[in-house]
Formats: sequence, C-alpha cells, structure tokens
Amino acid sequence: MKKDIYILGIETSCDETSMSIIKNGTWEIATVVLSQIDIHKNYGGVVPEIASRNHIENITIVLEELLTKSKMQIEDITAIGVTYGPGLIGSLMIGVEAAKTISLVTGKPLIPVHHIAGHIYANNLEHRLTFPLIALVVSGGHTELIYMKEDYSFEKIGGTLDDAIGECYDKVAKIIGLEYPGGPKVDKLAHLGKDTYDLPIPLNDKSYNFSFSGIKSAVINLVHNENQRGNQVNIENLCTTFQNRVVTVLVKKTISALKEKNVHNLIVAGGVSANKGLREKLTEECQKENIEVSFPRISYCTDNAAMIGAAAYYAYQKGITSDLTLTAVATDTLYK
Amino acid sequence: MISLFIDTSDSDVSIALIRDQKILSKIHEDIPRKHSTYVVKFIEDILKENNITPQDVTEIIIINGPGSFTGVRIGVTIAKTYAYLLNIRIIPITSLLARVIGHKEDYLLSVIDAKHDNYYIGLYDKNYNTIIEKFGNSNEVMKLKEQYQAVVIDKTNAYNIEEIASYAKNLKSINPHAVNPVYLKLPQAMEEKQC
Repeated sequence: MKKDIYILGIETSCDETSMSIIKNGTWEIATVVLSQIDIHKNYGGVVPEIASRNHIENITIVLEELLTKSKMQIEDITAIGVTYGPGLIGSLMIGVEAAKTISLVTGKPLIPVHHIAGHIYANNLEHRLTFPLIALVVSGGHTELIYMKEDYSFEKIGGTLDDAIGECYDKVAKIIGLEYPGGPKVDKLAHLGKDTYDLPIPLNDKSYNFSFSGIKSAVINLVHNENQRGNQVNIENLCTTFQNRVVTVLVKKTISALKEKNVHNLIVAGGVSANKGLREKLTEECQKENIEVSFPRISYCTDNAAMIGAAAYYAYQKGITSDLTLTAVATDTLYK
Repeated sequence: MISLFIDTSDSDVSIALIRDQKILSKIHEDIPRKHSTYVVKFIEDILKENNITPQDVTEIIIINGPGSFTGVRIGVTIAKTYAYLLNIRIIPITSLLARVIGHKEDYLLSVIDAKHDNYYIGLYDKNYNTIIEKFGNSNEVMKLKEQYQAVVIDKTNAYNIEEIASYAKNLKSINPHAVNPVYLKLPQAMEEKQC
C-alpha cells in the first residue's frame, strides 16, 4: 500500500496568512485563513508594509491553530509546500522564511509552489483534474489562459497585457464609489441593471491576450462626462454593461482556445472565478460546446493554503524540491 | 544549554552558537539584500559544522530591530518559528540595547543612523534598563547626551555576543507568538492617515 502523503501548505503572497494540511493532493484535513482585509480596506487597497507586518505577527499563531484544528503534530507532516511567488515580496518572504525554518527543524522536504499553480489546483480539491485541460486564471493579479497536458505542466497560451481582471473590477468599483474590495460588489450590481451604456469590448481580436486598462479608462471618462453634463450615472446599468463586456471577451477567447487545442476540460481559478456573471456565461457556453467546466468552491477562490498544499503534492511527485536558499520572488512566471 | 544567536537587522548578518555563554562558532557576513536567501542556510551550516542538531538548541536570542525592516523580519520570522516548533526559550533584544551590553557607564546612549538626519535612539541605565527607545533626529541625540551625560555607543561598537548571552540568561522567555519586530516607525500609509 502506498504511504499517505501529508503536505503542510503555506500561503502569504498578499494579505491572507494561511496554512493547510492536505492529504494526497486531494483531501483537505484542515485549513486556517487569517485575512487582513478589514485592516487594508481603511486604505482603499492592500498596503504592502502593513501586510508584511501583519503576516509576521500571525505566522506562528496560524500554525498553532492549524495543528490544533487538524489534531496533528508537525512530525506527522511529509513535506512543506510554500508559495514562493509571484506576489508582494514582503508578504511572500514571511511564509518562505517560516517554511524554510520548519524544513530545517523537522528535516522535511521543502517544495516551492507557484501561486498560480495553487489556484489551478484549488479545483483538484473538488474533483481530480482531467487532462489535457485549459485553465482560465482570473484574479486581482492575474488573467491568464494556461494549457496543461498533464499534472504540474503549464504552458501559457495568453495573458493580460496590462491590468489584471480583478484589479480592473476593483478600480471600476472605486470610480463609482464602492468600498474596497469592490469587485464582488460590481458583480452583484451587474445582476440588477441593464446593458445601456456604450463601452467597447476590450481587445476583441483573434489573440488569446487580454487588456483591461482601456475599458477602465472608458468607465472613468464616461462617469466624468456624465457628471460634467449634470447627468446621474446609473450605477447598476454601468456595472451590467461593464461586466457584459469583460465577460464577453473572457468567454470568447477561452472557448476559442479550447476549440483550437481540441481540449474538452476547462477549469477556472483565482478570486474572480467567484464572479457570478462569469460563472453563468462560461457554464452556458461550455454546455453548448460540450466542454466540462469546473469552478473551485467559493472559499477556495481567494488566496488560501489548501490549494498550495494540493499543488505541492503534484510538484513533489515530479521531484520538485528546494534547498534552504529558496527565495521569494515578486514576478516569477510558471513557464520556464 | 546551547543558544542560537541571530542578528539580521543590518546588511551584515551575525549567526552564532553559544554554549554556556561561550561562543562555539560564529558566522559574520555582509550580504546586502540577500538575507532571504542565506540566513536559514547559514543556520543549517553552522549547526552541521558543529555537529549540533536543530533540536539540540535550547534558546534563541534574536535581535529584533530596529534596523532594516526586511532584514529584521527575516530574522524574527525564523526565530519565532524555530522557538515555537521546539517550545524553547526565546529572548528578543533590540539592536539598540544589544550594542550597549558589556558597557559599564551610568548612562548609555545607543544610536543607529537611519539616514536623512534620522536616528534610532536608545537610552539605558547601567543595569540596561530602557529609559527611551525612539525614532528621532540629531538634535534629540545631542539633548539626551547632555541631559544624562551619557556615553554614545554607535555602529563602530561591535556586539559582545558572549555578554549578550549572559545577560539573556537572566531574562524571562517570551511566548514566540508575541515576539515581533521593533520598528520604532509606523508604516508610511499609517503616518499619513494620522496627519
């Protein structure tokens, strides 16, 4: 019988201090997520210095809570998986240093995990990934289409040229006066309005790349012009129009990538995979094209260590480990 | 009793193993902006070279700032995680206080340059009780020096690690969860909010 593998996952790339224990890449034993969102919303966004300070205050507390919750001891762990990038360097660092120290003290292997690989493997906690697949990664820091022919193999086929989709949502939310993080609020309002405004579909071409800074500027100009004319902006209608445009382009390019690659499995990952508009439209289009689509459960959409523990298992199967010089990186990519 | 001494608050890093207040081995290297790569590795190396297992360590002495924010955070994260895992003593000592330990004058004024006429300032009595630890300018340094007739200790005075270890021996261990960096400065975003 194969020995069970328990991975301690650690994720501190932005403003969540999270640790999790995952068995054999699919089974969540326990997860702790300590979010700093209430602190950062006072500043209208994540302040890196404050995030880093909070991670260091929380790091051992989160570990203790995890061990209590899982009724496990650190010696029961097979290996440690940690997000080494990309993300906020001062935040990543705290997780990486803690992971290296745990590896040193326990003698357990250290597995570097790419943050996006983690988001993708959040779906593996729902049901085992089926290959080949295409992953649409949509979050506050990423908008990417990735082709995977097998476990832990990543080929980027397209990505944003400027803002990430989640970043664009939050900025649009800010323009219309919604409190940070406003993205989910835009999604909610979009379900209440009508598509009445004249906004362009962003980067509506044959490539698999995205661009969201243009539509953000278009929203700024629209709001500004309406205010100048003394017209009230209909926030709900504006949200509906904006969401329709960005979802249209995301869905269109994702579906054509699937068709071109002749792939029948789509997984959606990242914070914006919680977006209802995107879920509805993708599900509808995938049904038409006979494509299996998988979304992570809402609690796995945002940053968490469960997904890191899941991804780390497959990295470990591939022999990916690091010595104690592992260093956090802000902008590394998956595709070297 | 084996103590692991960690100071990463400046660009030159000190890691030392101390047995019964005597230094067994020491690594001192200037590694500007490379702390995150090498500090844990240095600890692994120094333990191996001395045939000491990570579990043999019974106390961590961590210099928890002020100094380089990043540097301090790296050392403190390692120290508190290490101490938590093994449930061993952990003694945080500020970089300002560490520098005066071993000096015998009545009043000791520890000063670390923080650029642009700013200084981290620590004032201690001869028993190393803290009178003041703050962020200030050169005027405040001069004023404190005169007011207390204090002897100024700056970066040219190296740490006396054995003296620090002896001093630490008499201190009460802190819960690792509560060991955190001493910044003496708010993040910029918070300072701006307060204005």
